[in-house]
Amino acid sequence: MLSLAPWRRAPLLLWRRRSVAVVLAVAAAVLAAAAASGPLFVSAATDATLAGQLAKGCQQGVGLTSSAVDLFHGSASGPDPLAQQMFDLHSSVRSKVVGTPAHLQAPVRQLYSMHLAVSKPDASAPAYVTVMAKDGALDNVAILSGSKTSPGVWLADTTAAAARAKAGDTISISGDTPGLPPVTLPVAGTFRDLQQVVAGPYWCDDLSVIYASGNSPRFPLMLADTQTAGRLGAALHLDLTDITSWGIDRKGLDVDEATVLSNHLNDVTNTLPQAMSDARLAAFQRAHPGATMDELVAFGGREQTQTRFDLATKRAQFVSDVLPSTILPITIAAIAVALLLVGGSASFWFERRRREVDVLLAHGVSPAALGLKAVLESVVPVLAGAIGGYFLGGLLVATLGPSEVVSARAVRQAVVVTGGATLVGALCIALVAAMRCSARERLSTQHRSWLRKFPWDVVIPGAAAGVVAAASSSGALATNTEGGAVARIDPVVLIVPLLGFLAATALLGRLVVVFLRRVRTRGDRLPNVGWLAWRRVTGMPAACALLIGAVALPTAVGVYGATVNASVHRTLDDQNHLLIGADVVVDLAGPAKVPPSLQGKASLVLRRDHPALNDTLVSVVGVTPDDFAKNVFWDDAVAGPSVPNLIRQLTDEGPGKPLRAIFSGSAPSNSTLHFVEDSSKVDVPVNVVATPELLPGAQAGYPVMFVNLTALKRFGTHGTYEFWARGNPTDITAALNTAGIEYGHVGVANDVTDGSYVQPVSYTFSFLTALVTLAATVAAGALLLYLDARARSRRLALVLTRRMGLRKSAHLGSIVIELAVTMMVGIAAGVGLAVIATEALRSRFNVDPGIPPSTVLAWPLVAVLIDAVVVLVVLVIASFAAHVASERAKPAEVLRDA
Amino acid sequence: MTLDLPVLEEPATVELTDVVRTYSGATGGVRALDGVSARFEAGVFTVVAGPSGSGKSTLLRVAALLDKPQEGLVGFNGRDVTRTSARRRRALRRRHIGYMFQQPADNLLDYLDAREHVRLGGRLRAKTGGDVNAGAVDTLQFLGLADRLTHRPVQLSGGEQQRLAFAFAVAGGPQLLVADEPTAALDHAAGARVLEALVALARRGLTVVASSHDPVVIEAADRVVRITHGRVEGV
Repeated sequence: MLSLAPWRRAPLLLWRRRSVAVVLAVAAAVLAAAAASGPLFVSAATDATLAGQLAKGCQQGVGLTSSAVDLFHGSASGPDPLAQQMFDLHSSVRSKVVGTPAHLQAPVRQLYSMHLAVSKPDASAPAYVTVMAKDGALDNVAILSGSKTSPGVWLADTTAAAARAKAGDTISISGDTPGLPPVTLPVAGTFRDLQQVVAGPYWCDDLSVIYASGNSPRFPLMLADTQTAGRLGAALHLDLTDITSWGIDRKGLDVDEATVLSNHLNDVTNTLPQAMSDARLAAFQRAHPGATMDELVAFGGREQTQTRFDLATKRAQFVSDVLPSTILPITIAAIAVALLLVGGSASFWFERRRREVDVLLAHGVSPAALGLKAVLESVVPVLAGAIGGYFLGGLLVATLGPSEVVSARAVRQAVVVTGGATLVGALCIALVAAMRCSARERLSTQHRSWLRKFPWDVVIPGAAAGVVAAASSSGALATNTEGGAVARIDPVVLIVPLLGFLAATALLGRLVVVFLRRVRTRGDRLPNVGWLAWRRVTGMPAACALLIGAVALPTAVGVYGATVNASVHRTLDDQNHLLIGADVVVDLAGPAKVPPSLQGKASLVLRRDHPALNDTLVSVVGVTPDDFAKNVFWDDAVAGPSVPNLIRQLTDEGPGKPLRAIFSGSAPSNSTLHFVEDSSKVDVPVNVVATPELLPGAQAGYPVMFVNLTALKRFGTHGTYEFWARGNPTDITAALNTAGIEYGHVGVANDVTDGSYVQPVSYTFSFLTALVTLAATVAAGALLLYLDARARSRRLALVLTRRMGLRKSAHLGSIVIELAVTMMVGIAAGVGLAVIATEALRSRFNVDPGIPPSTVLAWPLVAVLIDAVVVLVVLVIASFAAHVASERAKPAEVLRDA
Repeated sequence: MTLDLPVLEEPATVELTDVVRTYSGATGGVRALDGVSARFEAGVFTVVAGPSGSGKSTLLRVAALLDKPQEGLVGFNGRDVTRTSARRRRALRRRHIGYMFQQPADNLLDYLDAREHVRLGGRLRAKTGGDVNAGAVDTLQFLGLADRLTHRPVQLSGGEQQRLAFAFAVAGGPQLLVADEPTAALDHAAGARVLEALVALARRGLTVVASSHDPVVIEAADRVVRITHGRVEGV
């Protein structure tokens, strides 16, 4: 062994101390996981934002859309070869300029022109259609008759019925340009009219062509192939629109690749119109030498190119820029905690090497050399742990993070950070081992200096928390750049509690040790089960304190993180709903009855903006109290009286009586409302029955005043009628369409802020949750180590007490009590710390403090309950396992060892 | 067979003067050495004798520069090393002092075999090469461990472990050997062999200090320091 080189001998040495190797590997894995997960998480969150942005709206043209309008508009009479030539060159120019960059889908070309007349040659009345050619169109309609291989055009069933045409017939098609002969084409088949069904996502970009909007009628589609549509355009001089769209292949697309693609597409939007224009002008001038650009424009075919991709990319990049400000402190805190674990593992190495250390110290080996020895021995487990931890971090991000996709750059960063953290971990092992050896070498009788007695573990994080809290004047809440605005959690909300929890847990541990030492001799009056548990708990105060801390810390972070996350979302949700007034507020063209399908879910109101209550401009909202109280938004957690209850007081007192009102401001109970009705000033006596601080629906920016609708109408009926409704805006507008109710603007509370607005907050806390899960795993490991440390004494206790007549169940009960007391104290302490931190920092949870209400707390009671149940299950299983392990011991051996 | 060790050219002398060493415990301070003065000469086998808890081990640890007194002076080869730095004390221990703990197993590294222990001792005293290897085998042969050269501690009996510990301690030629109850865990024959080795070392000029309350060991000593309650009762 001695002939081996140290780096070859060292791994073999630790192979004889497998428990040490396992502890070192686990500590290194936790450290690596904490380090790697930071950059991987930011990348995953950015990718999730990108995916969310790209998932919005239609997919077909999310990458790039190149369109040319009014093709053939200026064609010469009769089929125009030039127009056909220019039509053909569009594809080649677009393909050449756009190219085939990675993640850009193959182009989809479509042509359409509206208002063509279709008739059988013998029919008198034509049917009108919109001719459309689109790649894959026939795969996205319900074919009723005909064969895809047949030549000709495809008619919607409604058109076929109106024109009395069927597959195989010949129809004549004519456009708006007079004097041109119709084109005769066979009918290849029929399909279900898209206007009669809900068009699928394939048609997302074409809804404005398929469905009527306002006063613009739309005709059923007539599907054709590209060549046929081009031939029709040339023959009938159609205002044909030629669109080529490129979607995005999102599979494996990360933000870095997206940025490259976005830059390319931005270049294309600048260069393609010019390239197209140049090509068209060249072709035009070949046919008409000396022709000018104006003449080409008159000929038709203006080119437009646009991309939505850069907005999505910028948004994602923006989120990526914002996230590190919160992810970084969490990552650093996690690394710090993991380094404590690594230091603990080095200490464990020392404990298991104590005898060897004594021998070598007696032979004059220095602590530094022993520290180096510790590192050399730890190389293999630490490397194995680091590699495992890296993948564990990736797994954490993939399973608990917002996306599985991470960029190559993030992977490189994660590898570098993990490598750096592992190196620091190795240094930590060397340092701790050397310090323990040095302390061993020093004289035990030397009085410990105040430096060594000072509770650094409590004071340093505690002071750091105080400094950070004091240094931060206000929370950074939202940021505006070209990527838009996003909510960003105040870093203080993360850093201060994390440091505070560390300090408080350390303090708690110290207090527990002191307390248990003082009360060790008590508990004599306890029954046997309790006495056994009491003696075990008080017999190893340090181990007990460690377990309490290991439970308290993740509990505190987990409960606090969940509270902040839920509170931020709830506060923002309440702010949006209070602004709109309800889930959905629909402006109506006039008074209307609530459709049957919305009964109980919607309420009619009459809003009059800026009348004056005394001298204050207000928004007056006339409501039907009982009905309205059910649909108006209110969160009982918002400070102040319940608005629905107040609204029920708005009874109609009858003619000649003052208008009962509740008003979100200060006003005397006997006030006067002034407004103009039909050019006449109207003064309405108002009895203000309540003045809550907040009322929903302050969209116009004026204080809101709710009054009884019937009573209000007695004084005037001018204003905007609205439906205030609960539910999904799509369902609500569909119900209004079905009922034939005309409506205008639809205000949706959930749309006030973009869906990605709070994503950084969600991402931050999901990252925290992932690390808390890791911490909880460590806590479970601590429980196992705790049980392992007590195994010998427990076996001895069982053997001895069984001989003294103690039942097995009593032994099991004592283990349950021992663990339950310890873990419950840990949970209670963790929850208590979380509550204290929440109450202390709650004002900073508000993403936009300028908008009421102030922070609305959302306590994660269900999550805490689930945690408690999980702990209970772990507790019972661990107790039972410990009891069974003790029972397996052979009494003779145990007594001999004792 | 005799142990063939070179005669030391620079023998060591250790001198303790009014040494006080106190341990703090849960029930208060324990004065393990209370004004002890003693001198350990080169070529003399000195036994520190006394009942359990009298301060023998503490005295040996102080003499071996493993411990530091709160009061008094410790001299090594005429130089005061009481307040010298940890680095210097470490260097003195490595180069000049061999130490044996009371329990045989506490002196050994479980992953090294017998010959490797002696070679490690030589290396620590900066002696390498064939002479160390040859010396290691000679020492082990003298101690009756010739057929245990490749055995690790766990494969040795208690007596063999203690003899190996002795070989480990003297490997590389220290000037001072301090042994805490070197025969306490051994049977008569094994103890006698270790004792013979200690005496032989002293005859070669080594300063040998051992603690014991074994009459056989005390009988073999050139000089006996009797200690009770942390005080020297007689020499």
